[in-house]
Amino acid sequence: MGQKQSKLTNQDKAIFQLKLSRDNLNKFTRNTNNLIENERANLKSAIRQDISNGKDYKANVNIRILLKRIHYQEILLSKANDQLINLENMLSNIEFKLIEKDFIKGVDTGNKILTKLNKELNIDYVNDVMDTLEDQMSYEREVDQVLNSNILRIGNTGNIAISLDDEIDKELDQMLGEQKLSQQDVDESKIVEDKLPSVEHLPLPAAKVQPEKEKETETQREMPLTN
Amino acid sequence: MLERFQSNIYNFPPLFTKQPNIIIYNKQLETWQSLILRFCEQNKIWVTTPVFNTTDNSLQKNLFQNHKINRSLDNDFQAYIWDYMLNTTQKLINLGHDNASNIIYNSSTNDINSNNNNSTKYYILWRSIEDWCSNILNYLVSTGASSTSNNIFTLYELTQVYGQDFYNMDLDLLRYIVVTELCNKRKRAVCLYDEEDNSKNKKVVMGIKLL
Repeated sequence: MGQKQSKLTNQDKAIFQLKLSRDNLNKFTRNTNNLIENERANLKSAIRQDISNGKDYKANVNIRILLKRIHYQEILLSKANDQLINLENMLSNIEFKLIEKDFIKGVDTGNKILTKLNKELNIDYVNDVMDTLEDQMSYEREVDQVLNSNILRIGNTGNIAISLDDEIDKELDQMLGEQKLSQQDVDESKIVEDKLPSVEHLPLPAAKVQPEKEKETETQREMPLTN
Repeated sequence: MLERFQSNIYNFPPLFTKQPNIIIYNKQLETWQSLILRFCEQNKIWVTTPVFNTTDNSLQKNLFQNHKINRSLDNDFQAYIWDYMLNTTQKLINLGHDNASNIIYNSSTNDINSNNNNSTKYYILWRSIEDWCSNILNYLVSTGASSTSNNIFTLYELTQVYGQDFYNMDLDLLRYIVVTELCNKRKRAVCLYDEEDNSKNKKVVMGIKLL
Protein backbone atom coordinates (compact mmCIF):
# COMPACT_ATOMS: atom_id res chain seq x y z
CA MET A 1 0.00 0.00 0.00
CA GLY A 2 2.90 2.31 0.69
CA GLN A 3 3.94 2.03 -2.91
CA LYS A 4 0.51 3.02 -4.08
CA GLN A 5 0.47 5.99 -1.79
CA SER A 6 3.76 7.24 -3.15
CA LYS A 7 2.23 7.54 -6.60
CA LEU A 8 -0.14 10.15 -5.27
CA THR A 9 1.26 13.62 -5.23
CA ASN A 10 0.09 16.39 -2.97
CA GLN A 11 -1.41 17.99 -6.02
CA ASP A 12 -3.58 14.95 -6.62
CA LYS A 13 -4.75 15.05 -3.05
CA ALA A 14 -5.61 18.72 -3.30
CA ILE A 15 -7.61 18.21 -6.46
CA PHE A 16 -9.32 15.29 -4.83
CA GLN A 17 -10.28 17.37 -1.83
CA LEU A 18 -11.68 20.00 -4.14
CA LYS A 19 -13.74 17.41 -5.93
CA LEU A 20 -14.98 16.04 -2.65
CA SER A 21 -16.12 19.47 -1.53
CA ARG A 22 -17.80 19.93 -4.86
CA ASP A 23 -19.62 16.64 -4.28
CA ASN A 24 -20.68 17.82 -0.86
CA LEU A 25 -22.06 21.00 -2.33
CA ASN A 26 -23.86 18.95 -4.94
CA LYS A 27 -25.40 16.80 -2.26
CA PHE A 28 -26.36 19.87 -0.31
CA THR A 29 -28.14 21.48 -3.23
CA ARG A 30 -29.94 18.27 -3.94
CA ASN A 31 -31.11 17.93 -0.37
CA THR A 32 -32.15 21.56 -0.17
CA ASN A 33 -34.10 21.19 -3.35
CA ASN A 34 -35.96 18.25 -1.92
CA LEU A 35 -36.54 20.15 1.31
CA ILE A 36 -37.96 23.14 -0.49
CA GLU A 37 -40.25 20.94 -2.53
CA ASN A 38 -41.50 19.22 0.60
CA GLU A 39 -42.09 22.47 2.40
CA ARG A 40 -43.90 23.91 -0.57
CA ALA A 41 -46.20 20.91 -0.53
CA ASN A 42 -46.72 21.37 3.22
CA LEU A 43 -47.45 25.02 2.73
CA LYS A 44 -50.00 24.34 0.05
CA SER A 45 -51.79 21.74 2.12
CA ALA A 46 -51.79 24.06 5.15
CA ILE A 47 -53.24 26.90 3.12
CA ARG A 48 -55.88 24.59 1.65
CA GLN A 49 -56.79 23.40 5.13
CA ASP A 50 -57.14 26.94 6.41
CA ILE A 51 -59.30 27.94 3.48
CA SER A 52 -61.56 24.93 3.90
CA ASN A 53 -61.86 25.74 7.60
CA GLY A 54 -62.76 29.30 6.73
CA LYS A 55 -59.75 30.78 8.49
CA ASP A 56 -57.64 33.63 7.24
CA TYR A 57 -54.50 31.76 6.18
CA LYS A 58 -52.51 34.96 5.98
CA ALA A 59 -52.88 35.39 9.72
CA ASN A 60 -51.61 31.89 10.41
CA VAL A 61 -48.18 32.20 12.03
CA ASN A 62 -47.13 28.70 11.02
CA ILE A 63 -47.75 29.40 7.39
CA ARG A 64 -45.81 32.62 7.55
CA ILE A 65 -42.86 30.91 9.18
CA LEU A 66 -42.99 28.13 6.64
CA LEU A 67 -42.89 30.56 3.74
CA LYS A 68 -40.03 32.48 5.31
CA ARG A 69 -38.12 29.29 5.75
CA ILE A 70 -38.65 28.39 2.13
CA HIS A 71 -37.30 31.76 1.11
CA TYR A 72 -34.33 31.32 3.35
CA GLN A 73 -33.61 27.89 1.89
CA GLU A 74 -33.83 29.30 -1.58
CA ILE A 75 -31.27 31.95 -0.76
CA LEU A 76 -28.99 29.26 0.61
CA LEU A 77 -29.54 27.22 -2.51
CA SER A 78 -28.58 30.04 -4.83
CA LYS A 79 -25.48 30.70 -2.75
CA ALA A 80 -24.55 27.06 -2.89
CA ASN A 81 -25.06 27.07 -6.62
CA ASP A 82 -22.77 30.07 -6.99
CA GLN A 83 -20.12 28.37 -4.96
CA LEU A 84 -20.57 25.23 -6.98
CA ILE A 85 -19.95 27.15 -10.17
CA ASN A 86 -16.88 28.71 -8.60
CA LEU A 87 -15.55 25.32 -7.66
CA GLU A 88 -16.22 23.89 -11.08
CA ASN A 89 -14.43 26.83 -12.62
CA MET A 90 -11.50 26.32 -10.37
CA LEU A 91 -11.33 22.63 -11.19
CA SER A 92 -11.42 23.22 -14.90
CA ASN A 93 -8.80 25.91 -14.52
CA ILE A 94 -6.58 23.51 -12.65
CA GLU A 95 -7.04 20.84 -15.24
CA PHE A 96 -6.22 23.28 -17.99
CA LYS A 97 -3.15 24.50 -16.14
CA LEU A 98 -1.99 20.90 -15.89
CA ILE A 99 -2.29 20.56 -19.63
CA GLU A 100 -0.40 23.82 -20.07
CA LYS A 101 2.29 22.53 -17.77
CA ASP A 102 2.61 19.45 -19.93
CA PHE A 103 2.81 21.62 -23.01
CA ILE A 104 5.58 23.74 -21.55
CA LYS A 105 7.41 20.63 -20.52
CA GLY A 106 7.25 19.34 -24.04
CA VAL A 107 8.45 22.61 -25.48
CA ASP A 108 11.29 22.68 -22.97
CA THR A 109 12.55 19.21 -23.85
CA GLY A 110 12.31 20.05 -27.54
CA ASN A 111 14.33 23.17 -26.94
CA LYS A 112 16.99 21.26 -25.08
CA ILE A 113 17.39 18.77 -27.88
CA LEU A 114 17.60 21.57 -30.40
CA THR A 115 20.35 23.38 -28.52
CA LYS A 116 22.25 20.15 -28.12
CA LEU A 117 22.06 19.50 -31.83
CA ASN A 118 23.13 23.06 -32.55
CA LYS A 119 26.14 22.64 -30.32
CA GLU A 120 27.19 19.61 -32.29
CA LEU A 121 26.86 21.55 -35.51
CA ASN A 122 29.17 24.50 -34.77
CA ILE A 123 30.05 26.93 -37.59
CA ASP A 124 33.78 26.05 -37.90
CA TYR A 125 32.99 22.40 -38.25
CA VAL A 126 30.33 23.08 -40.88
CA ASN A 127 32.69 25.40 -42.78
CA ASP A 128 35.41 22.78 -42.65
CA VAL A 129 33.07 20.12 -43.98
CA MET A 130 31.84 22.39 -46.75
CA ASP A 131 35.41 23.35 -47.75
CA THR A 132 36.57 19.80 -48.01
CA LEU A 133 33.43 18.99 -49.94
CA GLU A 134 34.25 21.74 -52.44
CA ASP A 135 37.82 20.55 -52.75
CA GLN A 136 36.69 17.06 -53.44
CA MET A 137 34.20 18.25 -56.01
CA SER A 138 36.75 20.33 -57.88
CA TYR A 139 39.15 17.44 -57.85
CA GLU A 140 36.47 15.24 -59.28
CA ARG A 141 35.77 17.82 -61.95
CA GLU A 142 39.47 17.81 -62.92
CA VAL A 143 39.45 14.05 -63.19
CA ASP A 144 36.40 14.29 -65.39
CA GLN A 145 38.10 16.80 -67.68
CA VAL A 146 41.21 14.71 -68.01
CA LEU A 147 39.18 11.67 -68.92
CA ASN A 148 37.17 13.61 -71.54
CA SER A 149 40.26 15.10 -73.23
CA ASN A 150 41.88 11.67 -73.42
CA ILE A 151 38.93 10.30 -75.30
CA LEU A 152 39.18 13.19 -77.81
CA ARG A 153 42.85 12.57 -78.35
CA ILE A 154 42.24 8.91 -79.03
CA GLY A 155 39.66 9.90 -81.62
CA ASN A 156 42.08 12.31 -83.45
CA THR A 157 45.01 9.94 -83.69
CA GLY A 158 42.89 7.03 -84.89
CA ASN A 159 42.36 8.20 -88.54
CA ILE A 160 42.19 4.61 -89.65
CA ALA A 161 38.78 4.24 -88.19
CA ILE A 162 37.41 7.20 -90.11
CA SER A 163 38.97 6.16 -93.45
CA LEU A 164 37.58 2.70 -92.87
CA ASP A 165 34.19 4.18 -92.42
CA ASP A 166 34.49 6.07 -95.72
CA GLU A 167 35.54 2.99 -97.59
CA ILE A 168 32.68 1.01 -96.13
CA ASP A 169 30.31 3.74 -97.21
CA LYS A 170 31.64 3.70 -100.72
CA GLU A 171 31.37 -0.03 -100.97
CA LEU A 172 27.84 0.04 -99.63
CA ASP A 173 26.89 2.67 -102.29
CA GLN A 174 28.36 0.55 -104.99
CA MET A 175 26.42 -2.47 -103.82
CA LEU A 176 23.27 -0.42 -103.81
CA GLY A 177 23.91 0.69 -107.43
CA GLU A 178 24.38 -2.90 -108.57
CA GLN A 179 21.24 -3.91 -106.79
CA LYS A 180 19.33 -1.21 -108.64
CA LEU A 181 20.71 -2.33 -111.99
CA SER A 182 19.66 -5.95 -111.59
CA GLN A 183 16.27 -4.74 -110.44
CA GLN A 184 15.88 -2.83 -113.74
CA ASP A 185 16.58 -6.01 -115.72
CA VAL A 186 13.83 -7.86 -113.91
CA ASP A 187 11.40 -5.03 -114.58
CA GLU A 188 12.13 -5.00 -118.29
CA SER A 189 11.50 -8.72 -118.70
CA LYS A 190 8.22 -8.28 -116.91
CA ILE A 191 7.21 -5.57 -119.35
CA VAL A 192 8.00 -7.90 -122.28
CA GLU A 193 5.71 -10.53 -120.86
CA ASP A 194 2.93 -8.02 -120.48
CA LYS A 195 3.19 -7.03 -124.14
CA LEU A 196 2.45 -10.51 -125.37
CA PRO A 197 -1.12 -10.99 -126.71
CA SER A 198 -3.45 -13.08 -124.74
CA VAL A 199 -4.21 -16.56 -125.96
CA GLU A 200 -7.36 -17.18 -124.08
CA HIS A 201 -9.77 -16.92 -127.02
CA LEU A 202 -7.62 -18.86 -129.42
CA PRO A 203 -8.52 -22.47 -130.21
CA LEU A 204 -6.45 -25.02 -128.42
CA PRO A 205 -3.45 -26.01 -130.51
CA ALA A 206 -2.96 -29.48 -131.84
CA ALA A 207 -0.49 -31.97 -130.42
CA LYS A 208 2.14 -30.78 -132.88
CA VAL A 209 2.31 -27.37 -131.34
CA GLN A 210 4.50 -28.49 -128.44
CA PRO A 211 7.72 -29.11 -130.44
CA GLU A 212 7.19 -25.94 -132.43
CA LYS A 213 7.10 -23.96 -129.22
CA GLU A 214 10.32 -25.54 -128.16
CA LYS A 215 11.90 -24.47 -131.39
CA GLU A 216 10.65 -20.99 -130.94
CA THR A 217 12.16 -20.70 -127.49
CA GLU A 218 15.39 -22.06 -128.84
CA THR A 219 15.51 -19.39 -131.50
CA GLN A 220 14.69 -16.73 -128.98
CA ARG A 221 17.49 -17.89 -126.82
CA GLU A 222 19.91 -17.80 -129.73
CA MET A 223 19.00 -14.27 -130.59
CA PRO A 224 20.91 -12.49 -127.88
CA LEU A 225 23.93 -14.57 -128.66
CA THR A 226 23.92 -13.34 -132.28
CA ASN A 227 23.59 -9.81 -131.06
CA MET B 1 -43.67 -2.67 -13.27
CA LEU B 2 -45.40 -5.96 -13.50
CA GLU B 3 -46.36 -5.50 -17.12
CA ARG B 4 -42.78 -5.93 -18.10
CA PHE B 5 -42.80 -9.41 -16.69
CA GLN B 6 -44.87 -10.88 -19.36
CA SER B 7 -42.88 -14.07 -19.39
CA ASN B 8 -45.17 -17.03 -19.28
CA ILE B 9 -43.24 -18.68 -16.54
CA TYR B 10 -44.05 -15.90 -14.11
CA ASN B 11 -47.75 -16.64 -14.43
CA PHE B 12 -47.23 -20.33 -13.93
CA PRO B 13 -48.59 -21.15 -10.46
CA PRO B 14 -46.24 -24.05 -9.59
CA LEU B 15 -43.35 -21.62 -9.76
CA PHE B 16 -44.47 -20.18 -6.47
CA THR B 17 -44.24 -23.40 -4.51
CA LYS B 18 -41.14 -25.36 -3.83
CA GLN B 19 -40.94 -28.35 -6.10
CA PRO B 20 -39.97 -31.72 -4.59
CA ASN B 21 -38.05 -32.98 -7.63
CA ILE B 22 -34.45 -31.85 -7.32
CA ILE B 23 -33.94 -31.18 -11.03
CA ILE B 24 -37.10 -29.14 -11.33
CA TYR B 25 -36.25 -27.40 -8.11
CA ASN B 26 -32.88 -26.30 -9.44
CA LYS B 27 -34.52 -25.07 -12.60
CA GLN B 28 -36.99 -23.21 -10.44
CA LEU B 29 -34.21 -21.52 -8.51
CA GLU B 30 -32.57 -20.49 -11.76
CA THR B 31 -35.82 -19.04 -13.05
CA TRP B 32 -36.37 -17.07 -9.90
CA GLN B 33 -32.88 -15.77 -10.02
CA SER B 34 -33.25 -14.52 -13.56
CA LEU B 35 -36.61 -12.95 -12.67
CA ILE B 36 -35.08 -11.17 -9.70
CA LEU B 37 -32.11 -9.96 -11.68
CA ARG B 38 -34.29 -8.64 -14.47
CA PHE B 39 -36.62 -6.98 -12.06
CA CYS B 40 -33.78 -5.29 -10.24
CA GLU B 41 -32.16 -4.18 -13.46
CA GLN B 42 -35.34 -2.60 -14.71
CA ASN B 43 -36.10 -0.89 -11.45
CA LYS B 44 -32.51 -0.09 -10.58
CA ILE B 45 -32.55 -1.92 -7.32
CA TRP B 46 -29.05 -2.29 -6.02
CA VAL B 47 -29.48 -3.45 -2.52
CA THR B 48 -31.83 -5.61 -0.58
CA THR B 49 -32.09 -5.22 3.13
CA PRO B 50 -32.66 -8.02 5.61
CA VAL B 51 -32.69 -10.90 3.27
CA PHE B 52 -34.39 -13.56 5.32
CA ASN B 53 -37.03 -11.27 6.59
CA THR B 54 -40.24 -10.03 5.09
CA THR B 55 -39.78 -6.37 4.45
CA ASP B 56 -41.98 -3.95 2.73
CA ASN B 57 -39.82 -3.38 -0.27
CA SER B 58 -40.58 -3.24 -3.91
CA LEU B 59 -39.32 -6.74 -4.57
CA GLN B 60 -41.70 -8.11 -1.99
CA LYS B 61 -44.67 -6.24 -3.27
CA ASN B 62 -44.14 -6.43 -6.96
CA LEU B 63 -42.23 -9.57 -7.65
CA PHE B 64 -42.84 -12.15 -4.96
CA GLN B 65 -46.55 -11.58 -5.07
CA ASN B 66 -48.29 -12.29 -8.29
CA HIS B 67 -51.78 -10.91 -7.92
CA LYS B 68 -52.79 -12.02 -11.35
CA ILE B 69 -52.70 -15.70 -10.45
CA ASN B 70 -53.07 -15.02 -6.74
CA ARG B 71 -49.82 -16.64 -5.70
CA SER B 72 -46.97 -15.51 -3.55
CA LEU B 73 -43.65 -16.85 -2.44
CA ASP B 74 -43.46 -17.88 1.16
CA ASN B 75 -40.58 -16.69 3.29
CA ASP B 76 -38.84 -20.04 3.48
CA PHE B 77 -38.68 -20.39 -0.24
CA GLN B 78 -37.48 -16.81 -0.56
CA ALA B 79 -34.73 -17.64 1.85
CA TYR B 80 -33.73 -20.61 -0.29
CA ILE B 81 -33.61 -18.46 -3.38
CA TRP B 82 -31.49 -15.83 -1.70
CA ASP B 83 -29.25 -18.49 -0.33
CA TYR B 84 -28.88 -19.98 -3.81
CA MET B 85 -27.97 -16.59 -5.25
CA LEU B 86 -25.58 -15.81 -2.45
CA ASN B 87 -23.70 -19.08 -2.23
CA THR B 88 -24.10 -20.87 -5.53
CA THR B 89 -24.23 -18.32 -8.29
CA GLN B 90 -22.80 -15.32 -6.44
CA LYS B 91 -25.30 -12.92 -7.90
CA LEU B 92 -25.72 -11.57 -4.43
CA ILE B 93 -22.86 -10.29 -2.37
CA ASN B 94 -22.41 -9.14 1.13
CA LEU B 95 -19.91 -6.36 1.45
CA GLY B 96 -18.34 -6.94 4.75
CA HIS B 97 -15.27 -5.51 6.24
CA ASP B 98 -12.02 -6.39 4.56
CA ASN B 99 -9.70 -6.85 7.49
CA ALA B 100 -6.60 -7.31 5.43
CA SER B 101 -6.52 -3.89 3.85
CA ASN B 102 -8.49 -2.17 6.57
CA ILE B 103 -10.84 -0.77 3.99
CA ILE B 104 -14.46 -0.42 4.77
CA TYR B 105 -16.69 -0.93 1.80
CA ASN B 106 -19.84 -0.45 3.72
CA SER B 107 -19.70 3.09 4.95
CA SER B 108 -23.04 3.00 6.70
CA THR B 109 -22.10 0.33 9.19
CA ASN B 110 -19.58 2.18 11.25
CA ASP B 111 -19.30 -0.32 14.00
CA ILE B 112 -18.35 -3.77 12.88
CA ASN B 113 -19.53 -5.42 16.06
CA SER B 114 -23.10 -4.38 15.56
CA ASN B 115 -23.15 -6.20 12.26
CA ASN B 116 -25.78 -8.70 13.11
CA ASN B 117 -27.52 -10.56 10.36
CA ASN B 118 -30.62 -8.46 10.22
CA SER B 119 -28.90 -5.19 9.38
CA THR B 120 -26.57 -6.63 6.78
CA LYS B 121 -27.10 -5.37 3.30
CA TYR B 122 -26.93 -7.66 0.34
CA TYR B 123 -26.16 -6.33 -3.09
CA ILE B 124 -27.75 -7.68 -6.19
CA LEU B 125 -25.36 -8.06 -9.05
CA TRP B 126 -27.47 -7.98 -12.16
CA ARG B 127 -24.19 -7.51 -13.82
CA SER B 128 -20.99 -9.13 -12.72
CA ILE B 129 -18.36 -7.10 -10.93
CA GLU B 130 -16.08 -7.46 -13.95
CA ASP B 131 -18.77 -6.12 -16.27
CA TRP B 132 -19.40 -3.14 -14.03
CA CYS B 133 -15.74 -2.43 -13.81
CA SER B 134 -15.35 -2.50 -17.60
CA ASN B 135 -18.37 -0.29 -17.93
CA ILE B 136 -16.97 2.31 -15.57
CA LEU B 137 -13.53 2.13 -17.08
CA ASN B 138 -14.95 2.59 -20.56
CA TYR B 139 -16.81 5.64 -19.41
CA LEU B 140 -13.75 7.13 -17.77
CA VAL B 141 -11.58 6.59 -20.80
CA SER B 142 -14.20 7.80 -23.24
CA THR B 143 -14.59 11.08 -21.38
CA GLY B 144 -10.96 11.85 -22.03
CA ALA B 145 -9.38 10.85 -18.80
CA SER B 146 -5.70 10.51 -19.44
CA SER B 147 -2.76 9.68 -17.28
CA THR B 148 -1.60 13.27 -17.14
CA SER B 149 -4.62 15.35 -16.39
CA ASN B 150 -8.24 15.01 -15.46
CA ASN B 151 -7.64 11.66 -13.87
CA ILE B 152 -9.10 12.08 -10.43
CA PHE B 153 -12.66 11.08 -9.81
CA THR B 154 -14.78 10.92 -6.75
CA LEU B 155 -17.09 7.98 -6.40
CA TYR B 156 -20.06 10.22 -5.86
CA GLU B 157 -19.29 11.98 -9.09
CA LEU B 158 -19.49 8.65 -10.92
CA THR B 159 -22.92 7.87 -9.55
CA GLN B 160 -24.16 11.19 -10.88
CA VAL B 161 -23.38 10.55 -14.51
CA TYR B 162 -26.77 10.70 -16.08
CA GLY B 163 -27.47 8.22 -18.83
CA GLN B 164 -24.86 5.71 -17.78
CA ASP B 165 -25.86 2.32 -16.50
CA PHE B 166 -24.20 3.03 -13.20
CA TYR B 167 -26.21 6.19 -12.67
CA ASN B 168 -27.40 6.29 -9.06
CA MET B 169 -25.53 3.14 -8.26
CA ASP B 170 -25.29 2.39 -4.60
CA LEU B 171 -22.15 4.07 -3.35
CA ASP B 172 -21.02 1.11 -1.30
CA LEU B 173 -21.37 -1.25 -4.20
CA LEU B 174 -19.48 1.14 -6.44
CA ARG B 175 -16.78 1.41 -3.83
CA TYR B 176 -16.50 -2.36 -3.64
CA ILE B 177 -16.29 -2.69 -7.43
CA VAL B 178 -13.73 0.05 -7.76
CA VAL B 179 -11.52 -1.13 -4.93
CA THR B 180 -11.52 -4.86 -5.61
CA GLU B 181 -11.64 -4.90 -9.38
CA LEU B 182 -10.33 -1.62 -10.71
CA CYS B 183 -7.63 -0.92 -8.16
CA ASN B 184 -6.58 -4.29 -6.79
CA LYS B 185 -7.11 -6.68 -9.65
CA ARG B 186 -6.68 -4.64 -12.80
CA LYS B 187 -4.40 -2.03 -11.24
CA ARG B 188 -5.80 0.69 -13.40
CA ALA B 189 -6.47 3.09 -10.57
CA VAL B 190 -5.32 4.10 -7.15
CA CYS B 191 -7.65 4.57 -4.23
CA LEU B 192 -8.05 7.99 -2.70
CA TYR B 193 -9.16 8.38 0.88
CA ASP B 194 -10.88 11.18 2.59
CA GLU B 195 -8.00 12.81 4.42
CA GLU B 196 -10.09 14.85 6.77
CA ASP B 197 -12.08 11.93 8.01
CA ASN B 198 -9.20 10.03 9.52
CA SER B 199 -10.92 9.03 12.71
CA LYS B 200 -10.67 5.62 14.30
CA ASN B 201 -8.00 4.47 11.86
CA LYS B 202 -10.61 3.49 9.32
CA LYS B 203 -10.18 4.40 5.74
CA VAL B 204 -13.10 5.02 3.50
CA VAL B 205 -12.34 5.11 -0.17
CA MET B 206 -13.92 8.19 -1.64
CA GLY B 207 -12.30 8.47 -5.00
CA ILE B 208 -9.86 7.07 -7.49
CA LYS B 209 -6.98 8.26 -9.55
CA LEU B 210 -6.75 6.67 -12.92
CA LEU B 211 -3.33 5.44 -13.92
